[in-house]
Amino acid sequence: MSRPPEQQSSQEQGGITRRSFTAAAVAAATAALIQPIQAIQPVQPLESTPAIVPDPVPAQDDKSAAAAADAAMAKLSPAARAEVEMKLNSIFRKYGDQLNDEQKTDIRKVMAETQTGLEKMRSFPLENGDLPATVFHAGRGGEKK
Amino acid sequence: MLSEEILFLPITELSRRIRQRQISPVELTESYLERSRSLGPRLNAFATLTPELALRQAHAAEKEIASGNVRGPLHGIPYAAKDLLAVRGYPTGWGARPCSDQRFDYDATVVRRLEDAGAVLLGKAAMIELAGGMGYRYASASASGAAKNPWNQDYWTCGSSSGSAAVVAAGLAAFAIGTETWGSIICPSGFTGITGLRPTLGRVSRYGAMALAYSMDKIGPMCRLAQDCDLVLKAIAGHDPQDGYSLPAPLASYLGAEQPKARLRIGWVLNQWKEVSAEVDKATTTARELLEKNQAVAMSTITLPEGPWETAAGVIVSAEGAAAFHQLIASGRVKELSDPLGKIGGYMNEEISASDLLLAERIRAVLQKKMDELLQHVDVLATPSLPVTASKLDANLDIALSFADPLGGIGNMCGLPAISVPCGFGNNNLPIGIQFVGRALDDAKVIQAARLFQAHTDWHKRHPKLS
Repeated sequence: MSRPPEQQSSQEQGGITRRSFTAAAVAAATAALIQPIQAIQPVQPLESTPAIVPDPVPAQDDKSAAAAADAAMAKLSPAARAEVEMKLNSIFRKYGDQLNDEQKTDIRKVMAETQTGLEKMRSFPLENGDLPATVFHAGRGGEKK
Repeated sequence: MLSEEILFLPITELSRRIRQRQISPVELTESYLERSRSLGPRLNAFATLTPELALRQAHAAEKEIASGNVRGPLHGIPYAAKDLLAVRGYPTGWGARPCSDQRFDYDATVVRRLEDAGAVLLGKAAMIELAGGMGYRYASASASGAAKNPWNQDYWTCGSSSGSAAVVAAGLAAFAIGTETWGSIICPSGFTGITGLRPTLGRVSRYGAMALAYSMDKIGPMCRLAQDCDLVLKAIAGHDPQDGYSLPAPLASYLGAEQPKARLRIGWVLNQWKEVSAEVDKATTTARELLEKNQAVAMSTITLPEGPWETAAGVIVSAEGAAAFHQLIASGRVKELSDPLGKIGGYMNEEISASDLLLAERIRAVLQKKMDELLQHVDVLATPSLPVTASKLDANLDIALSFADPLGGIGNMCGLPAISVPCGFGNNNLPIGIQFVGRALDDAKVIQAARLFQAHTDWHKRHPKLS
């Protein structure tokens, strides 16, 4: 094994992680990134199942998180950066009052990292007549499908 | 109480002993319940136990069987259902603190079908919050805490069907029901050394199940053996008009995997994992060689088509997830989730454009044709289930599991069936698995491949020492 998977970010590999498909959905994935433990609150037990509190994880200071976000943004083309900034503005306009600075930095970093994959997807060759695989069937109530 | 040896028996054997009155469904249920009460909390395996319901169903099964009315192989067999399946009278918390008090006044179709088959519901298995629908970075992303791997409790089970895997691997029930949108059955099955089946999309109704991605969510069995998965799939498959994605009746119904009439054509995938750890490489190479030598197998190598499949799959999951959890996101209650990524993921997902979603859907249609063509040359694809063994409980998953998974993206975006079976152990006593992936509706073929492998290996017969 020349290089363990954990040393390669999914972005390098052109993929996304299964857990970050949502956040990173749009694609290329989150590189190695350590999130501050302060964001994880103690887990509340449900009936009959004691929960554990997550073990401590080394915190990344605000400056290095911001630097990582800046580095991710710097890799993008001006147009891609503008698109990310537009989306960030939209998120912060709608939900900014619910987000702390640390979360805003995290969002900036993830959005920047996923943009490259999104652009690769957009360059996939498709014909005008290639239909989307969405599901909708015209029908009337009571009819068998 | 019944011995541990009995509690680890596969469904096929438990069923035989029940029919022959060697085991009582009530005693079996009580034994699993006692073990679940004792070991379940240590592993964070259950969200809720359902002892009253379980004993009621077990007594009913015992009475029916005693009168000669055996409904089938699941009659009197205890199981756990992932906590995103509605069960009347019990909380269905979706693994998430904002939903912990949620209750539904009906049963999910899968739960109802298993009740019709005479199975006994022991409890709701713990899971990753919202099945990972908002993203997560830590195994602790669950209202029940991080599910511990029964083989080594310093390690995780993987998610999102984390509790379902722990339940089966620890012998807390005969089988469990899990769900997969992307990796949530295959990964936990691989990490815990059990046999987990992801059925073809539309074969098993999702009515009464939490929706994450309407066009990608699948429900499947997690068992000890491929043969057990076959039995459970027969019981839960079938058309359901209450699920808009349910296949028409002739396609949705599943009659079981017969013995193959010809050699099984297995294509070993050359470009799934960019790197695999030495321990996984060793175990899966041995598994491959075993299959190659088998007279019932025609082995070849195969290369997956290249393209932005994972990105497209991610866009679809994320956009559908943003719609499915819109209220949770818009209300700001996502801040009550446990995971730092889960608290912010929904906001990012809402920014996916309609244009990008439709582009992903068009790519999906192209990919579906490519995969259907490729899978006409082989019956199943085979590859390691994961390139690594289980990650540590406190690992940052963005680091520990950040590898590309093209077949996961492809298989889930195209709704293809897959199964993971154990094929060895690595460092720290952690299981290793291989997966078989088939053409749409070829659930029987992936089960045939897994069954053939298990007929010549005994990894599935090994169990962790827990008591």
